[in-house]
Amino acid sequence: MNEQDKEPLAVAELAALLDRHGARPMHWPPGLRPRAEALLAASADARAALRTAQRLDAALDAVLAAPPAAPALATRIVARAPQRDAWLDWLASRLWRPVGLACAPLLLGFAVGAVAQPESLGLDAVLEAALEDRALAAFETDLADYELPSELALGENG
Amino acid sequence: MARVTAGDRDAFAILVARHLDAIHAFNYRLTRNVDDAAELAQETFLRVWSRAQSWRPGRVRFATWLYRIARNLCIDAHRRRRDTMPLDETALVVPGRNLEIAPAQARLQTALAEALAALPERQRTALVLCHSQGLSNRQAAAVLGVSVDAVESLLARARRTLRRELRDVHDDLADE
Repeated sequence: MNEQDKEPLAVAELAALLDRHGARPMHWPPGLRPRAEALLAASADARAALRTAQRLDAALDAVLAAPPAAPALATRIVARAPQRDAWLDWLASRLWRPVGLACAPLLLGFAVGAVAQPESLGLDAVLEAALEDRALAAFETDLADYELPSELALGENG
Repeated sequence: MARVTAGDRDAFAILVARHLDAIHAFNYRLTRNVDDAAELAQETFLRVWSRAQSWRPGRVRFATWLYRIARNLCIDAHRRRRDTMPLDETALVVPGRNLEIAPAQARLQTALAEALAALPERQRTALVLCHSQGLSNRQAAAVLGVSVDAVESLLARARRTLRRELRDVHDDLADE
């Protein structure tokens, strides 16, 4: 403990102490209590500040007084607690993290795949290509229907 | 608490009995309404029951966790009923108490209740936790999720504001 720790607080310091901790000495930090008490013993201003803080505390006690809970409330709360499956609870509480972690790469893969798919391999492109192939095949089939008899076909030499 | 986590209703009943008065009082002090205090206390404990697995013993004290749940529910309730929550004269009457006190004292209490209601939520909650619920500044800091310095700053601002607001009603509360 240095010399400053033994000196009484200043009145302003006591006022700050009262604002932060209230007027009850038992709530004051142990390190400051002897210094505050030394000041209170010596200073009328300090005692006046303490009285003001005590009046505010007393008024707060009166205004913040709370009625007790109704006796039936505890019973009602317990009765309304839904039935729980402890094993499922345990499983859910223990497994959601590992399962989430295990699924993360999979979801990431889907996300990356959806975003980074080359345009030429997109669904529209594939469908378009398939339709083109089918149209070409049909056209070739149609041509076969109209193939000229061999006798009417132009020979190589005309 | 481990038994509550495992779904033991008897353990839950013990836990409710042990903490109900404190949580009910806390809710009442924030809402100023007996029915709301009871309803919010019930909701708080049912949440403890349904989410017991999410409490981690090494990370936060049970009482801190309980107060955090209660405070969040009070804030939610206040948001839902913002129009009806402001204090009215009937909410200020403490049964069996205000009827007998002197008019000057009643005026002081009414003014103080109004000044409390007008404080920012964190200042009011810090004051209720430390002054009325008996929590240390450190414990209140854990409930509010702020540093101890921040809680002490909230408390100091709250007390200074209350003294200023009450100066006109009660000369003795003016700084001497």
